Amino acid sequence: MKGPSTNAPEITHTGGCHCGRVRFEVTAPARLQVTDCNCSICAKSGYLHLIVPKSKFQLLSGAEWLTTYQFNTRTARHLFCSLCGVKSFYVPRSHPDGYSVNARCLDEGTVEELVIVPSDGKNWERTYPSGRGRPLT
Amino acid sequence: MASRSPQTYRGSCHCGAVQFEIVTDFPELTTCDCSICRRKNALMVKVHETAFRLLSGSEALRTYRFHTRTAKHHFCGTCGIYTFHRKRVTPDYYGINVFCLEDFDPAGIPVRATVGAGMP
Repeated sequence: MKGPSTNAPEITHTGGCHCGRVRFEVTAPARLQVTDCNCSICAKSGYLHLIVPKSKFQLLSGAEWLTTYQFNTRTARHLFCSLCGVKSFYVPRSHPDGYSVNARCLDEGTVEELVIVPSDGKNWERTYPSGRGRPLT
Repeated sequence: MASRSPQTYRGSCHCGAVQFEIVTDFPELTTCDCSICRRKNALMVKVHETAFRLLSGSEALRTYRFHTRTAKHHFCGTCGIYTFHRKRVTPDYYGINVFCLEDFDPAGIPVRATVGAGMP
């Protein structure tokens, strides 16, 4: 099977938390490459990262329902719905100039393929020697 | 069939406000494809309420209910982590997020996929 291409045409995916207060749309290919991180918080939240520049993400509703949690370097802004607890997107430490969307929170019907790539976020300094992830396009 | 001898395991959310312990012999782990477990990629062990003890964090826990409102989905109000929930079909049991357990290695424990999405 052909993997996702960086030049693939992009479409609009929609998604959100469980209770429906938090809703967003994100522009990305139909075939997604997402990251499965083993760090202390990603493991507990079962998160799958689709990382995009800010320009490709739009929060449609629910800003007032979001709770922010920060720890360690306090670079990332972990956001979750205060009503249902679901973390549907957040500002990641690897890309504080972008957003990470939880691929598990995308609505059904637009994702044609999900390729999951492991990331060793537990050993952050070794995985990201420059202190952050690759620039986003 | 139990895959290990019964043991006490400690668990917590990410920020540490919610602390709990369970006693289990890990007969199995379960996944679920329902609308909320899918979002949390839940991998759970089921324990009776008598084998569960909340050590701290009752004031931090939030509860979310939906649909039949039988299950009580708990998460930490500070860090958002789903630690455990009261189960819908067997409300005297908890489903525990095994990723919240300390020093837990799932190797060798059978995993059963449950079909939550098909429940009325």
